[in-house]
Amino acid sequence: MSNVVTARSLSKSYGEFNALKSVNFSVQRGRIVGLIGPNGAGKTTILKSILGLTTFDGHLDVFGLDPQKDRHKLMQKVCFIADVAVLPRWLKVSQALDFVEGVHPRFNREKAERFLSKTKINKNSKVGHLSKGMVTQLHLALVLAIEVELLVLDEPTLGLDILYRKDFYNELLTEFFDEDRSIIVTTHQVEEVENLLTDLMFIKNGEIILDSTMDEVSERFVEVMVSSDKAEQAKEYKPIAEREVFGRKVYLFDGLSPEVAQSLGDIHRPSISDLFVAKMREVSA
Amino acid sequence: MNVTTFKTLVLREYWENKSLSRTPVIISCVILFALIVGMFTAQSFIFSMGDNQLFLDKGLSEISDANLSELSQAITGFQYGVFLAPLTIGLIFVLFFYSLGSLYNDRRDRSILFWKSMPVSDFQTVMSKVFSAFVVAPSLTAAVAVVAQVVGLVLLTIMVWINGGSAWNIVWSQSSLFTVIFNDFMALFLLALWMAPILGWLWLVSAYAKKGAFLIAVFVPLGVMLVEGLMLGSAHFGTIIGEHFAQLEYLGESMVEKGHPFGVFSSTGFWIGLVISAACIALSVYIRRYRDDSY
Repeated sequence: MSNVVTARSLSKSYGEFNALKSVNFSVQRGRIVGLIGPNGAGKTTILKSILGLTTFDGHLDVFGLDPQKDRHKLMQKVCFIADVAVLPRWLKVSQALDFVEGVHPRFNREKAERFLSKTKINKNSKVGHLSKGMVTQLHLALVLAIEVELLVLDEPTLGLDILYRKDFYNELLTEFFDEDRSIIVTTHQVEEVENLLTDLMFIKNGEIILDSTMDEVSERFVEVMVSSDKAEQAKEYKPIAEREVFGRKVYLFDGLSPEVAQSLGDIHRPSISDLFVAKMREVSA
Repeated sequence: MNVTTFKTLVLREYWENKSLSRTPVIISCVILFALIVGMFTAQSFIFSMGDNQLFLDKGLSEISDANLSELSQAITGFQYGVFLAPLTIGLIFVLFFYSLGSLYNDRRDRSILFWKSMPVSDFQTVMSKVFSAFVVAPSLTAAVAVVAQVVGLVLLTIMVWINGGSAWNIVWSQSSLFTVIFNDFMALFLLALWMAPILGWLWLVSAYAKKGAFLIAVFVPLGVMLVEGLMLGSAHFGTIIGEHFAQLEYLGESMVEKGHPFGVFSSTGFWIGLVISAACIALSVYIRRYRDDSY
């Protein structure tokens, strides 16, 4: 499978602060990568580097282009939604369509109009008169109608109510995603994207602390619910996290063999948020 | 540079900055309203003299003879003085605020991230703003000026008719309308070019400022003057700026005396201003491309 993004020793510092400490990663065609990390971990710096919105050290290749030099060429193949409500308030819906049609060779206007016809958005409205959810719908309609090969979403559902959030990801999967395209998404709402992702990347303090496919994650990590009498025995296998549910201990193991796990108690797949919390604490400990 | 892309970018500027066309329209409406009020007043004065036929006959006979060129000058002076001059001042303000906001407003409301998600280079973006300032804004103002001037002549025609004169002889044949139209456009293009170094500075501030763009744009030059005065006891910077503003007079004088506004070309300061402007624009493109506070 071909890489759409390849980063080698990617670094970025703001004065004394090292936002990215020489990270390596790649994103392949046809994958949906979740980039998860706490605030200030370097998520946004990675995205900005990929989009050519910041300078960096090291090597970064996006569709064979250097984002620092060829940003506007890159934007023919890459699009991004940085945050909700970055559409300017004075822009009319019809003007937004005209604009993207005028500057983007891969924009499919009919497709965008079809999305909009499913919403309550009036084409003569100004963005400033739309609700926050509608602005996101508009932005999504514009971006999903552009036939780009990589879509970068930074906290796309921030500030949206839950009805819109569900729709957002549904549309993303049904209308945009296919095996020729890739998506990189960052979010705090890990539960929402959990079933969407094919790849998972955890980042902390400018370093990537986990980078694997979702299949590998479910093979490697296991959560075991252990009755109190087996707790001591379970601890010998060095769980990376423990918590208590209804008086029983739940341990999270990294690389524990299935046979051992089963002998200790009930096993199930850990949620990404539990895994995230465990990995964040593990590194700082 | 892709033509469709550039056309779209310029159109975008117009969508965002309706003041490019609204300001001259509003100014012209105010002038025309004042003119109508003035004409009513004048006409009631003429009626109050009772024998208005005598007034006009005397006036007409005086006009038609020796001082035809004076009449012609009065009519063109009316078109320039009453309409073009206020619109020119309006354009100066429009260009000032347009340029100051053009690389700044979208960073403040973060819509820059939407514009930057499109395959448009920062050079193209800045050029669309430069084109709007030097070509679109003066053209719109000139077009409005022409319409207002024609309406003004129509009002004069009505006035002449009421008093029983020949509007063709007194107004239209003396109006040099085509020269005036040509000069409207040329004068406003040249005005924008005269403003080029100021606009260049404003674009630079617009691309650079994190906040308070207006204050930076105004107080940094004042600060330079003050520091120069205190440290060196001289006023070169202020003199340069003063001399540049004095060129506006060239522009007006040339129109009145030579019948065209191109007298300003003979001023070295005008050309130096263009060079400074180009340097500022290049720097603005660079800042727009590489500054990192936008996200």
